[in-house]
Order: sequence, then structure tokens, then C-alpha cells
Amino acid sequence: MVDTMQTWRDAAMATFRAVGLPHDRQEAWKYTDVSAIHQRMGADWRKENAPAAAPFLPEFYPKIDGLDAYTIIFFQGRIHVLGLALPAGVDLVPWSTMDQTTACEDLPKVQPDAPLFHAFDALNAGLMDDGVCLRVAAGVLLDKPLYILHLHDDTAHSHVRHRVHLGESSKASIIHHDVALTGEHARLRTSHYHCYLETASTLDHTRVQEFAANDWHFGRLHVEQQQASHFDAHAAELGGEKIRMDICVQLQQASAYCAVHGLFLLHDAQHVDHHIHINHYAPDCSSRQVYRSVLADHSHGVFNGKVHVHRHASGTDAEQHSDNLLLSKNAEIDTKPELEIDHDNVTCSHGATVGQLNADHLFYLRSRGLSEAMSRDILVFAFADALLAVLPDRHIRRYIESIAFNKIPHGTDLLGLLAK
Amino acid sequence: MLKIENLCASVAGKKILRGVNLHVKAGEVHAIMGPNGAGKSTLSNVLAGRDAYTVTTGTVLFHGQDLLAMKPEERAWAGVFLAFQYPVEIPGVNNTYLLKAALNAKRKHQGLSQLDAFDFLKMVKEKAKLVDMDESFLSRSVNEGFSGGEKKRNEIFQMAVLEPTLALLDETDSGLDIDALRVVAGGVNQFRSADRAIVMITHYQRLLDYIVPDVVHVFSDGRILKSGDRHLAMELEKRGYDWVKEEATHG
Repeated sequence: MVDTMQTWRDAAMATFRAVGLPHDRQEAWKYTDVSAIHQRMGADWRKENAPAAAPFLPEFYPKIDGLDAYTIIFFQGRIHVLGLALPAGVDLVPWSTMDQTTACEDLPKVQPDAPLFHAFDALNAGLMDDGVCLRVAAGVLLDKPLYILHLHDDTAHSHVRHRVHLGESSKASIIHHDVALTGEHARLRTSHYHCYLETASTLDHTRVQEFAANDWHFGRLHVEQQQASHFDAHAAELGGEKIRMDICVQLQQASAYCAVHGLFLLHDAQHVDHHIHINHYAPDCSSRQVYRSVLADHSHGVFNGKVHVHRHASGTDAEQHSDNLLLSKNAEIDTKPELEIDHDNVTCSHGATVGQLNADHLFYLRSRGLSEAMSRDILVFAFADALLAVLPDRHIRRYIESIAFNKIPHGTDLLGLLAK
Repeated sequence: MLKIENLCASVAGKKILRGVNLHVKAGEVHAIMGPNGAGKSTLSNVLAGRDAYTVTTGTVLFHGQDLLAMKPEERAWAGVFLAFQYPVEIPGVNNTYLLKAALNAKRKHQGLSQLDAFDFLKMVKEKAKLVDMDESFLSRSVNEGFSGGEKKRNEIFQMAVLEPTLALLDETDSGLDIDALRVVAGGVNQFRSADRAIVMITHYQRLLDYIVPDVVHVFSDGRILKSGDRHLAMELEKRGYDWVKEEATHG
């Protein structure tokens, strides 16, 4: 019998080998050097993980206080807890429980022609540990977020590949949370989301990333939107050593809306690179890119946001913002909003700022009696919090705030200072 | 309370203050008037500790302590408060919790326990009433989206909460309409007491109708040219500043 899944994986690996690793002579990889991958990730990073032994879940892992959600847990890329009572019309099936033929038909395809495609996406398909196929039927509104907790330890690399399909006028919110429980050995993590939004559907996608200090991650979020659909993405980049996200949004029909938000809170020698490509193919679509980064020590942030307005996309409304705070003279941000416009009737704006803390703000707070250190910290977090304030779930916001505040002295004193 | 002797200061190599002498006793209200660009705001900023200014000579003693050697926050803890001419907007920082953190920082410095949250909120609401400030402003970000008048009102509200012993009011009246001026002045008058002093910088005699000063100073070319009682302010209103300058040069 032909092993269809193995054939599917082999094809992906063949693409991976044919494309070759990205290198710094490619414009999109100018700032993110992956040449050290063999040294950093060990000899086995291109090898498939052995099938899981008896499923087990670590006893302790972080919980998000107050979060009311449908919870799914992955450990090392493999689904471990399922038994969810999802509402009617919501269908969630892991690839590992499907028959091979169905899985191979439904799995997100490797698309070498898609914008920002690179070898790691093919690798993700080839080495995939597991993932889910989520379908929300037309008209169904998911009443609580779907919380997908991805736990990792340093015994193996991990690769997840998810597919999300929202039927007409349906609504869902997904929270993707990566947590590394141990981090002695550097590991490679990859992830892929393929989201398809039918007419007038709404998807929120929140990603909170807490990988270990020497983990590398290559992720891809690919979104296709039909008429008047609404997509919101949020990312909080907190951990990891080298993180690359490629976000591609295809606005295929009229009056679709997407907003891509990203917050980088980096220290030491962390490197986070977000490349975004939004294609406006149809009239009257709007897109937003809102990024903020706080870079300490030797950390390095990269924001490259491209908007391409195609020939038939009249009435396009696109905005790009990238605001960056450098807390050290050794920190670096490379920010590049890009526009390619093939139509006259469009409104596109972009702005990027790079700076240190505002001296007038510092003096104002100090003149009221806050110490210099506390004034600095509160200004940094007020800057970052502007992006957390727009998160769809306030428990996630409080969780990210507490993670961020825990990294600094008297952080808990500061928590109350932020505007609600 | 405050003793300024021969204070000279410059910004980016440019001399702004050229020998200021000023003594303020507890319980007094001093008004500093003078033409634009005379250095009035520089004086208040130097006293509050803004580091853009370099003090070249002179001394400032506050309750006998060397004020110039202190950091801005230490000056605040010691009891100095500056109501800014242009209060900054600080998005994301909660107006009320800023005051709580400020009071707690001061209490920590004094070896006192932290404020009770309930008592603090009650006190804050009382003080907000004092300057007729809507409670909705308490939960907003510092000055964000406030009108010019609301920002000035917020400064006086902050002063009322922090209870300094020396308040420096830098053109607190500018940008206020007549009703707002009356309310803000009312807040300042309630603040007056035998152990507190106020130094207010203004262009207009109008403010002094509401907050009656004990001493009026004419400030020009980086120093005090003439001092008198409130009648001096009325004379300035009638005759302008030039005669004071002439008197100073020829007299």
C-alpha cells in the first residue's frame, strides 16, 4: 500500500531541498542570517521526529488567569488533550486522527508561488508533527476563544501546521500560545496557519510567543479573505533567539478588512523579524499594520511591511505604522514600510519612528516624585501597552503585561499605573 | 523657605538667568511678571530640576537644603511642585495611579507605609471637586486628549493631591477662560496656608484679582528688576514694562 502521507511529506522535503536555505543576498533575508543553523540547532534539525511514545503532558505549565476558552494542548507539536464540547457547527479535527487520504487533501499545501515563501515553510510541511483542521460552519459564532496552547521542551524540535476555514458570516477567535518549558538545548520550531475567510466572516488571531532563550522559530500566517470579511492578527514576541514570521494576507474580494498588529519586547541578543505582504486585489478593502518594538541590550528587530495595491483595487485604504523604542545604543531596528501601487484611487499612508524615551515625559513624571528608574519603566510599558490595549481578550493582555513586568524590578508596582 | 542668591543659568551656552535674588517665606504668595523671553519659565524649570539648563553660579536653599544638588524626584519629595506651562500628554499612564505612585514614592522616602487604596481614592475624589474636575478625568491617561484649560486644571488638581510646601505655577492662567480661571484660582486659594508658599509666573494682572499676592516682582533680562506689593502689578498693567527697565538702567 502506498503511504500517501509519506509521499506528501517527501514532496514537501523535495521542495525544501530544491528551494535551499534563505541567504542574505535575498532582499527579504537581508537582516536575518540563518547560516549558523547547523551549528546552533544540532545535526538532526532536518529529520522527522520519531512517533510519540505514550502521550503525556507535563504537570506544570503556565495558565492564563481568568481566560474562558475552548482549550487544546499540543506538546512537542503533537496534540494531547482533546475532548472538547464545541458548539454545533464547529468542527475541529487533528491530522493525526484523520485517515491519510483526507488529511493529505485538507492539509495546507506548500505554495512556492505565494508571497514570502521560503524553504522553512516546506520544511514545516515535510516534518509536521501534527496540527488541526478547524471548520466553522456558515452563520456560527464561536462564543469563546479557541485557546491552542503549544508546550515545548528541549528534547525535540517541533512543527505544527494548522488550517482554519470560516464559513459565511461566521466568527471565531484563536489564541496561539507558545511556551517552552525547558531550554538547555536549542531547538527549531516552525508553525504554519492557513486561514480562509468566507464572505462576511470574522477571525481574530492572537499569537503569544514565549520560546526558550536559544530557540529558533520560523512561522507563517497565510490568510485569504472573501467579501467583507474581517481579520485581526496580534502578535506578542517575548522569547526566542531568532524569530521570523511571514504574514501574507490576500484581500481577494471587495470590502474586506485586515489589521496586523505586532509587539516586540526584546532583550539580550534576541532577533525578531516580521515580514508582511498584503495584496489588495479587489475594490474598497482596508488594511492596517501596527507595530511597536521595545529593544534593549543587543536585540534586533526587523519590520518589513509591504502593501501591494493591484489594478482593480480602487478605493483601497492602507495604513502602516512602525514605532520603535531603543533602550540601548547597541539595539537595532530595521523598519521598512513598502508600497506598490497599480491604481490611482487609493489612500495609503505609512510612518515609522525610532527613538529613545521622551525627555519631557521623563521630567514630568520625575517632577511628580517618581524615581528616574520607575519613570523610565512606566514610559516603556505605556508605549508597549498601547498594542496590548487592542487585544480582543483582556486576560491575555494582563498575562502578557505580567510576563513583561516580571522581567523588571518593582514591575508589579507599575502594573496599576497603566491606563485601563 | 526658599532663598535664591545670585542665580545664573544657561541653556545650550546661552545665558538666560543673570543673577536672580529671591527670598520666599512660608505663607507668602509671590507673583513674577515680565515680558516674554525674560527667563521666567527658565527660573521655574531650574527650580524643579530640568537638566536641559546649566546653573553656572548662585545658590538655592529650600528649607536650608541645597536644592540644586537634588534630583527632580528628590525635590518633589522635599515639597517642591511645578505646575507646568505646557503639561505633556503621556498616553497609557493613568492619571490617578500616577499620583498614587508619586505619593507612595514620597512616603517610602520618608519611611512611611504605603497608602490605603480606599482612603487614597476618597481623597482624590475630594480634591477633584475642589477644581471642579469631572471624575472621568481621573481614569484617563495623563492629559491625553485634554483641552488646554483641562490640562491646567489637572495641574492644580495634582498639586492639591500631592500637597507640596512650595508650588511654582508657570503661567497656570494662560489658556483659561474666565470661568475656568475662577475655579482654578479657587483651588489655589484653598491650598494657601501658613506653612506653604506659592510662586506664580504670569503675564496678566487678571490672575492677581483672584489670587492676591503678597509680593510682585518684575522680571526682565534674566533677573528681578523691581519688587513691590500688588499695586505694582496694577501699575504694570497701566504703564507696561519699559519704565521699569529704564528705571533699572538709569536709577
